[in-house]
Amino acid sequence: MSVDAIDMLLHPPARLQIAALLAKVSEMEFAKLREITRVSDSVLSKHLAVLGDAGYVHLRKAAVGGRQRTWASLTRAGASALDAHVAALRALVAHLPAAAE
Amino acid sequence: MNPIEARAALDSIDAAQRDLALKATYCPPWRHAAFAAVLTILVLGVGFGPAIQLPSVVIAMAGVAWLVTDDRRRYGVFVNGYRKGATLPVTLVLLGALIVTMAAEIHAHISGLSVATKLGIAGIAFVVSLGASVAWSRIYRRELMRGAA
Repeated sequence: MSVDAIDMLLHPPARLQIAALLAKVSEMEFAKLREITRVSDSVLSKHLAVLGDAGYVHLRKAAVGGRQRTWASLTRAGASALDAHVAALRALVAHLPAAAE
Repeated sequence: MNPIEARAALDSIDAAQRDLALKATYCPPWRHAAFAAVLTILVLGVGFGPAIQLPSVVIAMAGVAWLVTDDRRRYGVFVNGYRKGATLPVTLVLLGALIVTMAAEIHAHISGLSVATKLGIAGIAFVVSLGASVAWSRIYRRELMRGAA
């Protein structure tokens, strides 16, 4: 695994966190994603749009408690991309001396 | 990207998943009991024939829908119980236990065993479901806290 395997779509920290969070749930609501990633509405919307355009994330609107909310889930392509990206990161980290970790 | 940046990226994944564990995985005792009650209704209905079984299935399905809706509203998250990962063995054990208790209820119905026996079987289903729900939540939380990155 080389640095070439780094997925530039998942390179921005917030986008990587979004994908990593969605990998652990079936669906997460926009507000919860924003709360955990600590980014603004507009930044989160942009990241989700990029991930959605790449086919990594599926977005849907649904009413919960009478209010319309956006729900995000990781697609199979997104999960594969995240796995490959994390594997590439691990391969890179393997070059670090133990003390640096 | 250099190795130090890669380490930071992996650490950020762990941090986000730990945050998820802290903010969206607490399951109150009543929620475990409600889940167990829904499955118990499903199991108990089998022991009383179609006249009771069909309404019990409807009630159980409504209970599942209510639990899912409440989880989504309360936590802003939905996690499928059949997800891959460390929780899957618990899910499979629970499924197996439900099949066994349903088979026992069918046997009790066909053999004309007492209501007390049927309630006893349902009680076992409740205890197993309750234990599985608690175990599932703990394992899921531990998985998130441990971090895989």
